[in-house]
Amino acid sequence: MRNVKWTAAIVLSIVMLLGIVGPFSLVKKPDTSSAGFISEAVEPPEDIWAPYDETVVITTMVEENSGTSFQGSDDYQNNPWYQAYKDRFNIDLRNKWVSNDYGTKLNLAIADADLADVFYVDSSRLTTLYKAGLIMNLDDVFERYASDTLKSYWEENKDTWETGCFDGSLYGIPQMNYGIIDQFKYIWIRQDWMQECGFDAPETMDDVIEIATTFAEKYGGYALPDNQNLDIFFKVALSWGANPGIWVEQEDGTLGYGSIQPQMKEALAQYAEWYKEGIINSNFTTMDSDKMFQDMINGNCGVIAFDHWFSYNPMPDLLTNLGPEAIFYPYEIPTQDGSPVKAGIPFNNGGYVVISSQCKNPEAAMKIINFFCYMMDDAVEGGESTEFIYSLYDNNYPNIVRGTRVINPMTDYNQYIQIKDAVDRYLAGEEVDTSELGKNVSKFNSCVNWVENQDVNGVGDWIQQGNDRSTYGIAKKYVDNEQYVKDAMWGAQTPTLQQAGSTLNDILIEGFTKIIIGDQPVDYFDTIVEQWLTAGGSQATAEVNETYN
Amino acid sequence: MKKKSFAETIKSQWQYYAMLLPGVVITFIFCYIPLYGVIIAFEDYNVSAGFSSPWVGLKNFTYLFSQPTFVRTIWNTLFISVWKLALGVVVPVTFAILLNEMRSNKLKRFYQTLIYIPNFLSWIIMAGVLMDILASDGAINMILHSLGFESVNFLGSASVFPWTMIISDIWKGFGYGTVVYLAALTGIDPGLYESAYMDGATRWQQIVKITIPLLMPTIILMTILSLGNVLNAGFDQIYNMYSPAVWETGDIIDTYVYRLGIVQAQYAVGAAVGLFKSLISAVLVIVSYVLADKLAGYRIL
Repeated sequence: MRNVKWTAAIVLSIVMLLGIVGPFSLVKKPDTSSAGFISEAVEPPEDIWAPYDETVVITTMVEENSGTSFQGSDDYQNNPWYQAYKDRFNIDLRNKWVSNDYGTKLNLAIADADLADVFYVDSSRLTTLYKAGLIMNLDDVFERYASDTLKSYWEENKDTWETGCFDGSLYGIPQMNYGIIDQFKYIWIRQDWMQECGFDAPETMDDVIEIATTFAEKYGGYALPDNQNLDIFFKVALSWGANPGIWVEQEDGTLGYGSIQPQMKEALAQYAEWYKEGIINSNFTTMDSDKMFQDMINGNCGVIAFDHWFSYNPMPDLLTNLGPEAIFYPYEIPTQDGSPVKAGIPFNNGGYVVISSQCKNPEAAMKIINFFCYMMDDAVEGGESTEFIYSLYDNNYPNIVRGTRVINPMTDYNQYIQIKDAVDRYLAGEEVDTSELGKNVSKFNSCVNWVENQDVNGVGDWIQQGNDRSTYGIAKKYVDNEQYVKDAMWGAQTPTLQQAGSTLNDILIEGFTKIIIGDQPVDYFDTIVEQWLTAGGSQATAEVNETYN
Repeated sequence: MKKKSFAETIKSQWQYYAMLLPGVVITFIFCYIPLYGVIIAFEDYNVSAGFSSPWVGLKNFTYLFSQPTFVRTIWNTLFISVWKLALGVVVPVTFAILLNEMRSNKLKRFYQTLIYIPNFLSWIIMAGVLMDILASDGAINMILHSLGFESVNFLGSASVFPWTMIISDIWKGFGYGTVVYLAALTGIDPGLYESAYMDGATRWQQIVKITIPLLMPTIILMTILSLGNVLNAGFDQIYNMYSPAVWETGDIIDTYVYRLGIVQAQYAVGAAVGLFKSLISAVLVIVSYVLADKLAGYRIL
């Protein structure tokens, strides 16, 4: 009997101890075959597009992206991009590691000073790496090996490029984004109701309110939605010339925060009035974005001020629920005095490509970046086959090279021109040769899919680019006429904003909400500004002026 | 009985200690080793420097207490949790006595189950339900309207919100307390009631003179034991239902820390708040155990 007890106790303890130790021993050993090798310096060829005579090995660190849908046996190491580097340049790009927690893993790598040859960082780590002397001065290698396309990005975006420089020397190549064309805001109006009520496109904010209130009276629900973050209010405020969320130049020439400017007070006064009249959804304070959209999907509201991506979310769900005739189209936000509306464009840069100071062949990294720009901008002219372009662009494969790419900030702008033209020709009954569209062909196909089959998955692209009244159509005009205000803080946040930024925003959101729901009079705005300044706002303003003015 | 020496104890009971060991090891690894992380509350923590970030002493704490938005969370937390604590005793005790007085055992069981059910639903679900019921066009406001009352903005008005939190929490949780007190009531000797009845005591007199006094030790014990939780005003509940409109009265320490520490990645200040809260709670727990020993004769060691 006693033996049985002992045995049981021992077995149980062992099992339980294994429970602790087990997971550790099961952790996969890092794949040492791809890490820890030494890359030798190799003589680069004269022509920047020519392959090396002998294979050059360079390393990178990769951020996992769940949006990438790998086909067949593809993975982060074996894929069409890496294959193309090998075929075109004789460059063997190897992943030191792939992680879904890139930031943390990168911090560890920085702490160990165990970096790959080329990788991407955010602005605060760029500073850290520069100060630690772990990254290379790229002036010479950029001058000598950057392609003309890449250099043209630099020429056209010098202000963004400067954010990657220290003491006038380039250390991090800004990765840019798909362009400011996707940063504008619109009034979205439900078309079937608009037609039934016989409204024309709104020309003033009063028109918008009239349309919205008529909808509410006739079809139930409420006139204007909003959520607890006041997302809609901050868009409507553009009508008063306010620039919430970005830093702007004030009359006295200094920089100030857009959300505390007098225009915001005017906008708030009107918005609070609307709330009092029952125009704004009375439950907005308890709604997050999802709930607000859910209400729209249920047909409770036919007007909203929102970003261009409203046509991607929630529009497809909305049309599935309410039928394709419930489609919303975008309109310009009318201003109070009839002047052109100006949207605020926040600093938006995807990161910085940096090259380790230990890298033996920095020009190989430049070639990889050049190749991405080439495929993005010049592939069709370069005579690349459609299949080859697809193989690199389908299934979100550009995510694979997240860390070694630079995006042309005119990408979406140029794409719009191409797609609109192709769709127009298609609708006019002409034959469209899709091979000339290159990587943009899937946009074209989804527009056609919406037009022919009312496929809701195509409605986003249709409203963004294909339709006569499209978000990019309106935005192109804004871009061409320079109808926008760039954030004066064009670069990294200042220390106080990094530390207290969201506390400061909380003060504003809470105070604005109180004014809107009538807990406080409009003049409470001045008290909020006071609070904002004391809580760190004046410190932040001083820093922003020092750094950016 | 002669007290055994430590070695003897180990020798005769080592099996039990062996089985205890894994638990102790796990507790040590996951609860004690991470404790060294509190040092970041005294550092100007940045991720790349890790735990060797520059030491700033109490700067994070002074920063915190200079923030008016933090100071009010302490008051909000105390207001909400003290009311929850008080009503969390009164309501279950009342219900337990009422249920105990019921003749029909079937009905008693039925009600007991009914009030116990909400306790099993998580706040994320309850929040969704409550937000629908309490909306301006929700069920409660419909009823108020039909009775001729003004509609109440339960979740959007700063003066009403804390009470919505207190009452909904009591409603969700009082079934559990009721069951505990009912169990205590069954322990009362029925002979007492019989003799009181013989002496002509009414039902009400029986409750006041017998039931409540005999329930007192349990009540005191339950209250004291919940003292340690007085700074936990219910993160799950409030986080899922609050909004900027009610931060003034509804923002509690935990939700503030969440916004500061997780949303804003201010790890050092977040850790400072956490440490501050833990210290107060530790004191309260010690006080409550001393009180529990003195007043209710309850002790663990």
